[in-house]
Amino acid sequence: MASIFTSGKLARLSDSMKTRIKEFRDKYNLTQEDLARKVGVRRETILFLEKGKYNPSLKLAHDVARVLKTTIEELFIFEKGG
Amino acid sequence: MKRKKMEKTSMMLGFGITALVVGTIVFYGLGAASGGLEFPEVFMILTVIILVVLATYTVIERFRAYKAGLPLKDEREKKIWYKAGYYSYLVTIYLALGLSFFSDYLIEDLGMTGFDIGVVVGIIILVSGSVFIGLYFYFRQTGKTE
Repeated sequence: MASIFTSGKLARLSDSMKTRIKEFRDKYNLTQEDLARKVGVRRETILFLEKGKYNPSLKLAHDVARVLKTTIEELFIFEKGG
Repeated sequence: MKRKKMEKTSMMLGFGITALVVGTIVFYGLGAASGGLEFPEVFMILTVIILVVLATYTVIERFRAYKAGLPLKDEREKKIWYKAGYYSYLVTIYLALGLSFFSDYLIEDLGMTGFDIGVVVGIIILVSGSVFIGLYFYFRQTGKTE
């Protein structure tokens, strides 16, 4: 699994970000709106996060991971950009 | 608690401003229609109506989010606002430069004696407003926030 950090440099957050938010959301029977309310963001933000079309801030990634009782590395998978 | 109060105030302000703008357009439209409308006026009124419809849609959407207990703005929304604002600022600067640079040609072609300050301000407000609203919806739909 690729890490956010590679060789001490911040990896380029390209389009190749995948998330397991939906998988964890289903595990806890949460709708996008439920998760949005718990995290304190808009529903669209959760939607774009799930699609891998939005690179969240470290704080948001941490908040989502905390609500879904997992770690950032488990939730967000960054593949090295070309 | 403080955030909730601020959001409620912002919602009320949003509704108030939208109602004022809609009222102004209706009265202006009625007054202008009685005197006969020309193409620039029709174009201006149409642009303002489109802007108001989109702004009203945003206000209603925020009201729904407020009712559902969701925040009105989050980090993604802020990024979209800043990005759309940045581009509309650039467009406004280039538009102002373009108007001053090409004013002689424009005045000759349009047969005007000069640009009225009201016209220049109107053009800049309408164009920057349109670019901002257009880009805001574009970035929101496509998710291009970087």
